[in-house]
Amino acid sequence: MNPYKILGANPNMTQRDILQAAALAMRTKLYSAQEIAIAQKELMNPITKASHDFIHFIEVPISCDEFLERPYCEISSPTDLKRLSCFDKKI
Amino acid sequence: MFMKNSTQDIESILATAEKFFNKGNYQQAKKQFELAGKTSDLKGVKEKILVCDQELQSIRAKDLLKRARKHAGKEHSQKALQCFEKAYQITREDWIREKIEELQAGVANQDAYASAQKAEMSGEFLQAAKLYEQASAVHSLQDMFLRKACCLAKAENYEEAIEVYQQLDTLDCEASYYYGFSLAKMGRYYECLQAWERLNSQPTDFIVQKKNVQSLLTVDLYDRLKRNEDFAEIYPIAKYLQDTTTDQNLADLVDVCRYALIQKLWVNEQYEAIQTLLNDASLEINKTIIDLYAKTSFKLAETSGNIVGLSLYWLNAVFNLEPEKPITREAKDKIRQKLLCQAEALISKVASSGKESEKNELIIWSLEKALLNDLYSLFADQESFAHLLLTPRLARKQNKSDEILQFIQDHQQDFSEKEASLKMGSYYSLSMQSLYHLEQAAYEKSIACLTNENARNEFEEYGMQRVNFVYGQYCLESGKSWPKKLINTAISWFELSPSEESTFINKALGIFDEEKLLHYEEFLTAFHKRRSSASIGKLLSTIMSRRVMILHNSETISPKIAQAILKKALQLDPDNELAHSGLKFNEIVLKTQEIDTLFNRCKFNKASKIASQSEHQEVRDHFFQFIDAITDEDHLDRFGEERNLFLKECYECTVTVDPYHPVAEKISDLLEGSYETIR
Repeated sequence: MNPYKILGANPNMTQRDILQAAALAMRTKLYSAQEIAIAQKELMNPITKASHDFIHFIEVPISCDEFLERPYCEISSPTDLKRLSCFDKKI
Repeated sequence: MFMKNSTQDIESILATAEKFFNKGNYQQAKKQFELAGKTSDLKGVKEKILVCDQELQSIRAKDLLKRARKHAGKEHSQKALQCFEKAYQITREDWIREKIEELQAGVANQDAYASAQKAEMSGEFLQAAKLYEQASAVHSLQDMFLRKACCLAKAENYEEAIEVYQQLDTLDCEASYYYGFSLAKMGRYYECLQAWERLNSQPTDFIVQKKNVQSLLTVDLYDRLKRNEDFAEIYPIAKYLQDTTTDQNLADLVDVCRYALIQKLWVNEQYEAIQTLLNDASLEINKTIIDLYAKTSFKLAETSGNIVGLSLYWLNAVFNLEPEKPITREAKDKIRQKLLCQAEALISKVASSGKESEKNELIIWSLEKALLNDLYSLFADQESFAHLLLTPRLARKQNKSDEILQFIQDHQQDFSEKEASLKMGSYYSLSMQSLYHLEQAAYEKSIACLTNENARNEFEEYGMQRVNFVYGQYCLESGKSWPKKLINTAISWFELSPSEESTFINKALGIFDEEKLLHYEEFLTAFHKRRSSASIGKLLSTIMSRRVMILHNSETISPKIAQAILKKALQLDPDNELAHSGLKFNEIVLKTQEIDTLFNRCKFNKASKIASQSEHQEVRDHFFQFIDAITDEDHLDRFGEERNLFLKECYECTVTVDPYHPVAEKISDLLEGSYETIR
């Protein structure tokens, strides 16, 4: 069971946000009232919330946005590549 | 006269001509017909001359065609062409005309090849490419297209060159280079490097150029990454670059691609694809990877029931839990406990399906969980050791086993007893694999995994001793002998682990199967010879007496042999109740047997002596039962006049044993009855 999926919530939500998300989920009726109630309870409890955070979200160490430095390259474009004759056959 | 002779001559000439004609010698036939025609204007001669001419032309044409084919075979196209043309003038046949046209084209194309080579040498590559294509009509298509593509590449018409190369089945070195070069020029660096992989020779200039292409590809990948292009496409290229170059900077690029891809796959719930990425052997196992593995494995276990990864990584991830917000140790423990319960529920559910491998996963899970719990309590709040909170399997993968062993050694005083530290350490030692097999009750595998080398530390020593001992015990329980070479290890094992001795004794006391008892007895006898101890002596005594009683009851051994063994058992343990009662029972049997023998020989006095001297009431009871039976009225009838004499003898024997026994009274009554009858 993924309460975040049921409530359409995210780990940064406050308890108030979670209550609102649960109310919205009740209206959309994508999940049963029981499922929504359990999901809400799980996320309101800090211990069960932390365990769901661990199970349902991953953390990756390097973000693409942080990756800025373009590496140095001796030539700037393919036009700088010169044709080599070392593989030419004798005609 | 003259007329007659002349007529005769013509007839003779015509006859000769006809003869030649019929034989197909049209040359001679024509000459004779012409001779005949000169002297006389005979009908039919002109027609015959005409037929001869036609036949001669036909022969000439055939000859010309034969020569033409011969020239064509030798690739003398010009001469062949001349012959075909002459033959065509004679016959006017269509096929010869077609052949002439074909040859004329060939001659023209041969000129094209030569011209193409000339153009290529003079640097007119585009012209050369066209001419090579033309020459492909008569020359090898593969060869001409290879030349054409090469000329297109040299003429910087890279796109077309690539198209031509892609149509060809095989590329030689030159073609591979120009194909790759054309691809690089079009910005297709990854394909270029793949094409260049076929080149075995690596001239210096080429190595430099290849490095440049690799650099261009790296830059290109960085740009694509920034543009957030499909990571699934970028990752394998980055990985390829990392695997084929020594550029250290690429590791970051590959990591970024991999993590970005993992993030995307996670959102799309493509957990198997994530696991494939994580299974990369070159991947350094760190906390991030362990967490990713654990979470992916959890999801896979939930969806597909595959628990292998879960049991390997979950414990390590959960015991190294680092919540985002600072929380109390108590709260952290609660979260950990919850996560452990969730995973355990999954593993137990799958294991209950009945598959052996999955049951084993549960066994290993329980073992590793207990180990990590112990380690966790050892570490207490020592943050500096938190990185060592690993299961034995992962510690081995991360080369941290020695560090953990050192930690255990340094903290032996924190264990309740030394054996507990040795046991924990043994799982982190080189005995790990054997011990894991042992836990899974795979005893043969366990012993096979054990190295023959000497143990490198006390933990490994403990592990080896334990495996050897448990294997020996497994042999006994499966009805086999304890391996002789392992008897000494059992001795040292009990010294190392005294608690195991009592466990073993308790286990052995539960054995009642005769064959197993025999193997236990053999092992204990050998063991006791080498290291006698009261507890093992007592166990051996019990096993011996238990086995002998089984054998005695099944009449497999004689009471005398049983008696000897029981006495031996009593020597080992004078308090052995079973041996005592067995011996008593055995003595009763022996005495009753003796009494029976004496009765059968009518030696009543001797029998009564044995009964009276025996300390067992059962022997006397047996005696009286016998006397009672032989003093039965039906039995006494057989004695006739000697009845009273027999009764008297029985009475005397009986009173020797017990004068107040009811049988004595019964015989006395019988005797009195007899006397009254006589009176």
